[in-house]
Amino acid sequence: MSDFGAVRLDEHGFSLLLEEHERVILGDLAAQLIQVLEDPEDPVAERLYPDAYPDDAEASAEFRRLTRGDLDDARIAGATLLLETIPEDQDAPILPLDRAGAERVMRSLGDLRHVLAERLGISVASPEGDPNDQFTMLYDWLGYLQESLVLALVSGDEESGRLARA
Amino acid sequence: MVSTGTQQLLDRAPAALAETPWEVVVWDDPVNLMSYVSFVFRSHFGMSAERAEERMLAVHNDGSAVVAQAGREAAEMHVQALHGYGLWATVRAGNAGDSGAGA
Repeated sequence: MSDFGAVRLDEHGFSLLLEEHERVILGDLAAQLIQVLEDPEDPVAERLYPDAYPDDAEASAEFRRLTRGDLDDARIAGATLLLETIPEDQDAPILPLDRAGAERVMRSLGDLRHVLAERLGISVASPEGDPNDQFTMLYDWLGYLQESLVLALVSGDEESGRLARA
Repeated sequence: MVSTGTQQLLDRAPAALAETPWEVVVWDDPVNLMSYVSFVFRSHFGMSAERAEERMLAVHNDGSAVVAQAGREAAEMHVQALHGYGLWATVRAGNAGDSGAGA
């Protein structure tokens, strides 16, 4: 058994280590993420589906038409998995994830950061969020959770031989 | 012995015959974590940890970096996969003599 920040990796799989109030917040965010992903007009789509051909709007639109549906489906499945991992009943344990599930949830945490970055106005020109905004704290916390999952996945993948050791 | 003109043609032939390489470019963004981007490069492209770190830092320091060269269809599949990871990835026709790519 090893702990990587907010993630425990043991024989059951990858488990998020969350306080009660953190469970409520993350479950709420996961539910909101599903709503955002189901709205094709949400401005976060520009972050998740950037132009594949920066100098060719037509080719970019065609690329998006061919690729976005599958990626949206995968994103919604990931957010749903994240939601299911954290049962609403606080007495129920957080469910461990297998490797594929942990990888999927790792991406969902990134999707959530993109959503919050959009709301916070974080961009290349303005990479820091307002430190006094409560969403900045959530944004940073999601980064901590995601990094924990990354470290656990790297460790597990190196252990299994899926990734060559550094 | 061949004439100068023919020799020039022969010199250019191998490059001209090869399939035009397309480049997969990843751009720096303020949202994705450095550790995450390195992991994606290792996991998706099978880069070594050192190579993934080097490409990730190139993205971070230079604003963008080529992470793969491939035929157009394969390059587009890489870009789709990278969009699935939330990375800002684009595809472009390769520039002759460019280096630094190759996963």
